[in-house]
Amino acid sequence: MTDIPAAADLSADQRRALACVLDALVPPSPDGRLPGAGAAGVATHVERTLRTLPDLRAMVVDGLRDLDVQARAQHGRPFVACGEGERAALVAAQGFGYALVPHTYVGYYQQDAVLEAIGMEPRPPHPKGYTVAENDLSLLAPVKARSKRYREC
Amino acid sequence: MSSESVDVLIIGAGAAGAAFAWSMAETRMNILCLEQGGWVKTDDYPGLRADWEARQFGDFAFSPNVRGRREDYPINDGGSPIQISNFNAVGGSTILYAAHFPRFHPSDFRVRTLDGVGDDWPIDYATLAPWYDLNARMMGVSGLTGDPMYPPDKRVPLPPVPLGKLGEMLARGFNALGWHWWPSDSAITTAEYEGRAACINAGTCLLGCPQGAKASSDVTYWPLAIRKGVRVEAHCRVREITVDERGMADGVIYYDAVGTERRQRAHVVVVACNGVGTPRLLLNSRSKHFPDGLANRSGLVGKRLMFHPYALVTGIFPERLEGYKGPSGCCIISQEFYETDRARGFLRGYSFEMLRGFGPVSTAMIGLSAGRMPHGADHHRAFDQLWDRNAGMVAICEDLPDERNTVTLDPELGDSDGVPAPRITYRLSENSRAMLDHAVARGAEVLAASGATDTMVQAPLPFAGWHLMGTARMGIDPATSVVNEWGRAHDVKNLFVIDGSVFPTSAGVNPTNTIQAVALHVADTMKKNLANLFD
Repeated sequence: MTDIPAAADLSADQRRALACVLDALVPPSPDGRLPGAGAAGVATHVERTLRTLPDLRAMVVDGLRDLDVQARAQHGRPFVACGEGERAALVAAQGFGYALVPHTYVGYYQQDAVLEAIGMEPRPPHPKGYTVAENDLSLLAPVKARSKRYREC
Repeated sequence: MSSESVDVLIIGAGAAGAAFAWSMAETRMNILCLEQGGWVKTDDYPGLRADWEARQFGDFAFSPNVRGRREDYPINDGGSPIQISNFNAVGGSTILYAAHFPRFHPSDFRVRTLDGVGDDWPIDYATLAPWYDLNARMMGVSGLTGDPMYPPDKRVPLPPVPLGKLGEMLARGFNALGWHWWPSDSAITTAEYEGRAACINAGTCLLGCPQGAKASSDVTYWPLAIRKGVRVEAHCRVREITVDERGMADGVIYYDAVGTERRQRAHVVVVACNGVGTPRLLLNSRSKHFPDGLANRSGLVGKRLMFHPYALVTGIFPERLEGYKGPSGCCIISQEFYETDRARGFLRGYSFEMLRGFGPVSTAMIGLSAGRMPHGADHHRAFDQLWDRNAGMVAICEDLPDERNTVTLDPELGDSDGVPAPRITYRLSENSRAMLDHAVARGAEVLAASGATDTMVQAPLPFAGWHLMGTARMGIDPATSVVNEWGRAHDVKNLFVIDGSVFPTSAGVNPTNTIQAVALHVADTMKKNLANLFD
């Protein structure tokens, strides 16, 4: 698999396996409000990032291949066909997924479904912005009551 | 352009270059500014797109080494615990700055006299006061009069930025301890001002402001300067300043947008490239008159580099703070520990500046770097403990000048035009270390008084090399300074430096307001001395 040119997109099989890895790194929340990173579509962000990081991409491609080998050896089926717990254990044992953690977080927390689930509107900050309450400047009373604090020169 | 000689050539279109250009424009001289970056268009800013937070790790990163745009020059800052942050564009680093806009204090100009360290400035607070006032009007500064930490005549034209729920909680914490705090002076329009829209509390200041409410100099000074006839040529990187047979500056050699080498002649050359870019350019401008770099007979060009060592103390609160709403770097300031108290174990002092909270991507990444954001089954519980429950505060520590802290030319690293890159050599002083330790302890104390149940600390903050000062210091004596009290190089009487390089000391607040006040002061002095500018 490592003979694939660094700039090439992942294959459909690799993409499915990558989504499973991302779901292991950020699984769905126990209450179901938050999706897993793979289901949320973070693989698109990660794959885009990998295009600019050829060494990491090669590690990921090798790692996905190794996961599949290990899944077939341990469970008798492809990695993507394994259960959630099995996949999580395989990812933890293989180890390459750790290098994807920061990219996964960056991709995950810009997904609309995730933003809504954590209480944000699913939109960029501009052009609408946010409303912030008016100041309670009466809080300054004790500061104003003190004498000047700067040194005359 | 190559055959035309301009009256005044400004190198660098950032905070200083813009203010200077606007002021000089009334002379009706032929004024040209060369800037290695381009204009940032409104649509370019990350805040308009869903991936806005991610771009802090890419094309809008603080570090030029991460951004890697063509207009950026790499910086070898491996020899420093604090890495350089900047932005190369019309507007310079004001494109990405927080717009926290305090003035220096009267005591900041008399450091040697008052505390026996550093140096006194050859100018004082009173000299700059009218230029601070003018700059506040030009940039559209918001704030509140009456701060007991400053002389009472300090004025700004707009009301302060909103404190928000988070700011008011922290204000109550400061009050509980009896410590000073005040709404921040912020170069952010809190109401429509001089054609600029009001801030909408989007919280993207550190990634640029598509609203135009944050006062980057491309939306304040430059449109007015250009209207008065000043020209700006973007994507032009100056390689060196040249001198004539008498050792006077006579122009520059630069590379245009496609990398073609060009020549620009000038009667006066003004350098405004910041505390790293300016010494880089001067050191790269060698000639038979100046074999060690232009205007460097004192040997001080590139020496005495000062940052502001930062401590970041982040409080974790049990309740939601709505901290991602509002100007991300401007809320309240405390200068309780600003003036020297020898009993604290260090000289000089620092400001606390309250940041707001962070967006979700930043929250996850800060938690990850702090070892508090696991992947796997426990991830969502960990994220929920931090998300919108954190409030950051930074301590901005005064850095004392030290000739061992330097900007030199890297013998191997260069930019895309082959110009040598700057190399940073910097060591944190014992005084700064003691100040950081004090700030971390006091920061945790006030966060606890505000209701925080836990804190996270980074000190020094490694990516906080925003404030670049001291590498072409001003002074009266040519043996111990590079420029005089109005920015003119002692060695080259038609060469001026107007950026933070000229600062003899750093103070303990953000420098942009003072950089621009100095630039306006230099321009004013030049205008008053046009008849005998080179005497």
